[in-house]
Amino acid sequence: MLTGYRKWSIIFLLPSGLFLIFAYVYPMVYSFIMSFFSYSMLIPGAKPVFIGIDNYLKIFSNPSFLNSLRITFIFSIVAIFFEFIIGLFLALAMSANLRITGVFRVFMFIPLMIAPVVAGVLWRNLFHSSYGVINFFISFLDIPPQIWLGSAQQALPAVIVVEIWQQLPVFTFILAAGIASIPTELNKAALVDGCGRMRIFWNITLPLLKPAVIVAFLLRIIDTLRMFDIVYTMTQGGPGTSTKFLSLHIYEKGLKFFDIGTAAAQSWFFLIIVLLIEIYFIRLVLRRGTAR
Amino acid sequence: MFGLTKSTVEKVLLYIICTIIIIVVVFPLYWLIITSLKYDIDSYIYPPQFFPVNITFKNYIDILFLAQEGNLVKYFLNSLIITISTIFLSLLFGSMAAYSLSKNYLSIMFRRMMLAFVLVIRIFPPITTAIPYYIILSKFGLIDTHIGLIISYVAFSLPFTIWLMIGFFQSLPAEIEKAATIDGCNFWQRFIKITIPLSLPGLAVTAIFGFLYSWNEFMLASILTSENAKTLPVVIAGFISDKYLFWGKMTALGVLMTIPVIIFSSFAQRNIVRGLTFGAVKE
Amino acid sequence: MANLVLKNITKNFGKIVAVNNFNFKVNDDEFITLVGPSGCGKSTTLNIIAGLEDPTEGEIYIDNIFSNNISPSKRDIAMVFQSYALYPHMRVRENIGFGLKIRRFDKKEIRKRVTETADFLGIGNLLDRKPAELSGGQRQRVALGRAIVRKPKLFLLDEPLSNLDAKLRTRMRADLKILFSDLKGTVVYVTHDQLEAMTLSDRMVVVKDGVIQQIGSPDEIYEHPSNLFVAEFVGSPSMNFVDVKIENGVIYSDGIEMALTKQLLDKIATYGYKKEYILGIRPENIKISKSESKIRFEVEVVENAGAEYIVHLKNGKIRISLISEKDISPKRGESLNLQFDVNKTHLFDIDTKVTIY
Repeated sequence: MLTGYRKWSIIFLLPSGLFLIFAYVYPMVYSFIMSFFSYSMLIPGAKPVFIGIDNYLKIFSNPSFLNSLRITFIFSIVAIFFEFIIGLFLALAMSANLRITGVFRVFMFIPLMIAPVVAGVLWRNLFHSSYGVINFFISFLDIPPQIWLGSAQQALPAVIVVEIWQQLPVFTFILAAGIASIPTELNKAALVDGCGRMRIFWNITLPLLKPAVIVAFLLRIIDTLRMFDIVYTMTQGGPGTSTKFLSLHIYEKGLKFFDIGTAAAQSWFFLIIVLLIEIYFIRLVLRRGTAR
Repeated sequence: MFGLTKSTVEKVLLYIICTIIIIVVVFPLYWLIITSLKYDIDSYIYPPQFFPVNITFKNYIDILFLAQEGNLVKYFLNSLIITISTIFLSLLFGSMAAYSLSKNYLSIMFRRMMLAFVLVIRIFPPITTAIPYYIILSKFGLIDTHIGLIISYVAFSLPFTIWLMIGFFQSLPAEIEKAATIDGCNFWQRFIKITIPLSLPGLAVTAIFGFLYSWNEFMLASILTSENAKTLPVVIAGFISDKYLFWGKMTALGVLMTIPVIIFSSFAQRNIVRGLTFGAVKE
Repeated sequence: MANLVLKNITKNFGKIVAVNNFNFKVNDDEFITLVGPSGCGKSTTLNIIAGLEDPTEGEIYIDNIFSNNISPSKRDIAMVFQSYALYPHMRVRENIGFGLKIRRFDKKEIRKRVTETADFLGIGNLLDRKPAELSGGQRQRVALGRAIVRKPKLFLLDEPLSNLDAKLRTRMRADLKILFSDLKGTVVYVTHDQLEAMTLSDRMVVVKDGVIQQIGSPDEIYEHPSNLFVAEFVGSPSMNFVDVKIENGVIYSDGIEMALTKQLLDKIATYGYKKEYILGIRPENIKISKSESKIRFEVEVVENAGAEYIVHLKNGKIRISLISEKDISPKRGESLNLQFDVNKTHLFDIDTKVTIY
């Protein structure tokens, strides 16, 4: 009797399974194989040449790749840090049930609904060195107008600001949901026991929020490391290479210079780094949990 | 916070900070709309005009109707076709796969492996697959076709759909499906007549995310399409050049692009609420 | 309407034996109950009968047909679940008629049967409501309707009354009895409530930890329990148990001295004399004696149960209860002379807990 169900279970899995195999496994295998070849599609009639792990080795001595890696990491760490802090604050504020939170919720979501390319365009305007609104506002604080996107030091922070502006709701809502699931009796019991509010926050709220925080972190790590759309419309990787994120770097390598072999190797390298980071993060958090 | 009393000073402080944050979040949205209603020249003025003197709909009219801007209607339709197809296919295939994985007719090892496979895919940076996609799709002649882009979008959306729907299916009371089996339903009858109608909230959530992804996606669209299947995000990026920034047109397009997302989200959200009021099985 | 045979049915979950070698037969039109404490394997057995789970070993015959490999949707059985499992997105009418619709019955026929069934159950006016709008008792009747309308070979009910409050449960119990005596059908009923089992069944199967303890009619189970567990499980307030010694044909214990009847003596002889036993007697079979007796206990507490008193007594380490009419009102601390109905006295082997008498 169960064999009938087993048969159907497999039938139901087939479309997705086949899809994922052809649309993921196949390209990944293809890319993996290409990473061991030298192949430039620019030259007509060129054939791939097998060069072993050369492409991978070259990565470590490739300054522009390493620069992109550095930029991407800095971006990810800074953005997530601020998103976490501000998001946590907002989530706590939302749980306070002030009358403002209903309106709040609706508006908070809208930046997330805007396409990243549109956000890039919008903030490019806001950050404009000659007529941008940001320079206008800081003039009230007696700060002279900044170059922002034209400055190698200020471009990356500007991109970080845009990312935070767009992605803040993610942390906020995940943490808000986490807070909502903490039974209020715990806080009341702690109050009766004589705990101050800070104590309650550190010893009750935060530990119980751990699952939500983990989920949010995992999501954001993956997403920040992928940064492409915003930077494409805001700075195109410049000025110079100060905002040349890894995705952008590989994109240009493969689809502007058509150096397929190198791009493939760099893609795989990128992938493995992301996987390792995620696994490391999960392990880190799990170990802390069991140590309690 | 949550059950703890606050002093008035704290409440006021909280209100102020929240208001500041709302302004910081909302102002750029306001700016987006305002800029789209200005003549481009007015965008170059400093200090910037917060309340524009000359409001115009020229930007909207230009991008919608002027032939030389490229047919926005065509690109709009591209985005729409691709997005709706992606949502439909990923919901269909994804919920079927999730249904299979949420039951225990198949061995648990197999199911765990499938789930791990699905989750790992979620972690892949899109650029990793974008380049091979380009090469492979051009070999099949699928560059700049709707199908090509739909395939890549569905592939990307499936893991999330499957993961979400598994959670949803497992939260349905198991006895309802048992009752359906005893009433005479076979595997797929159960799925279509009972499971799916009861999973509308989950499908709605997945649809929202699917819409958000496909509608706004840029990287794959720019790589895999050029003229025929070009989608709206690519059009916007196309307005950027070294010589001139069409602020008015870009922001107008930005506004036009965001409206369907808002509409779709509120529509789907209403479905979620309706679905949740079916109530529990027990009292 | 059909018979049901379970042959050597065993179900293991890993190392746990949930159902251990069940063998029993249910006759046509019989109402049989699987009864036992929670977790004893009765629901699992029901699922196996339904086909929702496969047995690890054993065979099921429904209507003399080997059914192990027949899918639940084809076994022509109907089931009522503890949570009713109504389809929330369908109206009552569609809930009841769903099984007929899947089986491609004629639309007119479906309509006719649904209306008949609903009227029969007194829910005819609820046909266009959705489950969320109904009360617990109404939902239960819809669940019953869904089962009845298909006129199946076998009815399976899994603790259908457990979710109702006490008063409603009593009413529904009576209604169920009326329903199934009017209706033709073979019923397998699962419950942990011994009163439900006693009042509703033609026969009962008492289960503990996956092992069948005894099969029999309610009277058989009540009057002649096969072991201590069954004796204790059935009957409320439950049977009294006392550790006793038997010497020279007399039962001895704190406060008890009772001569054995010939029957008892013979039984003990055939069984093998052991000296120590467990004596069991139901509270309603202990009487307060007006004359001196060799059974004396001191009153600990008297519970006023409305129609009668439940008197708890002790002597030394031994505590027993009895039920007394309200004409005598014992006081705390009072010493009473008691009389055990010797024909209703049971003896259990102190080690195996099996009934000797």
